[in-house]
Amino acid sequence: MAWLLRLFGRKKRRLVLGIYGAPNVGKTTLANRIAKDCGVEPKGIVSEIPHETRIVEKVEELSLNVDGKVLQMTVLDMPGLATKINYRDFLNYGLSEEEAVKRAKEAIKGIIEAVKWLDNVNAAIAVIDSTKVPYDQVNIMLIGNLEAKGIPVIIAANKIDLPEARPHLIKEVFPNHEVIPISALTGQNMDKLYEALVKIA
Amino acid sequence: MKIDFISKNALKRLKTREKIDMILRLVKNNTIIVLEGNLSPGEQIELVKETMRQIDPLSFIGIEIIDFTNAEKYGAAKNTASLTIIAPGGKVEVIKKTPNYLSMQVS
Repeated sequence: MAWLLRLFGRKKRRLVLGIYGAPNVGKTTLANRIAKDCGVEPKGIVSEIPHETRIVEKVEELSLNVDGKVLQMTVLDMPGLATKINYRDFLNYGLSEEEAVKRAKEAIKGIIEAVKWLDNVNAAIAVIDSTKVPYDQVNIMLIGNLEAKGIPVIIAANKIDLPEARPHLIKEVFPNHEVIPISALTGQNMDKLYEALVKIA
Repeated sequence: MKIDFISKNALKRLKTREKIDMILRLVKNNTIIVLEGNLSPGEQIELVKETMRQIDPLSFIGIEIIDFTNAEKYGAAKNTASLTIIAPGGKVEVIKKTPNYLSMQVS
């Protein structure tokens, strides 16, 4: 049996891929980019207002040819993880008090939902904004939990199209993980991200 | 604002649920907690989940968790000294954080 596997290659499993990270790090932009590269119309709404994604957005039946290997996946764009939600923060973006409180309540539900999904994904991309210092506790907590559950995780050091990006800092903080500097916005290095996903499939 | 220091020994005696209840009770009472050692990843995520359940937009917006471990790399510090600071959300701001130095402003 082993020689057959060697001959034909191990069958790649379908990834149930959770895209996790803090708010406004580019998770939805990345999910949209993956959908587009798979020939599917992106549906995620990107906004500068934090917590735009407040429910888990699922894109199923995605398929991508990566150097002759077929990567099959369901992508889950998760609400941004946070340890606090202050509705007043949303007022700065022109929302009314009523809208801000509603958004805060939905964001809270979204965080709980995203955490629950940690039990149902079989791979994850932890998206970190490479223009910020990577010591945010959300990143450490997220990656620690994925490790503890044995879920393979790739760290996407996003926003490298911006001049202030310092993806090397993320590599220094997480030396035991694969860190891939990308720009979900421009598509830079997405090929490297897909190669890494094929490896863990 | 009050600051409570809690030793590793005191934490060791508590189950996860008891730790979370104690932390949230203190933080909601406007207390900054300094724990000797770290909460496990599982305990941290449970703390976040329970925090979300208890948020009230008008009286409790959540928490800040700051992990201060004397190591330059995540995952390399299992046996080194560390502190975990948990504070009411929005009440502390990290001014500077390096593996050897942590500066926070309390408002």
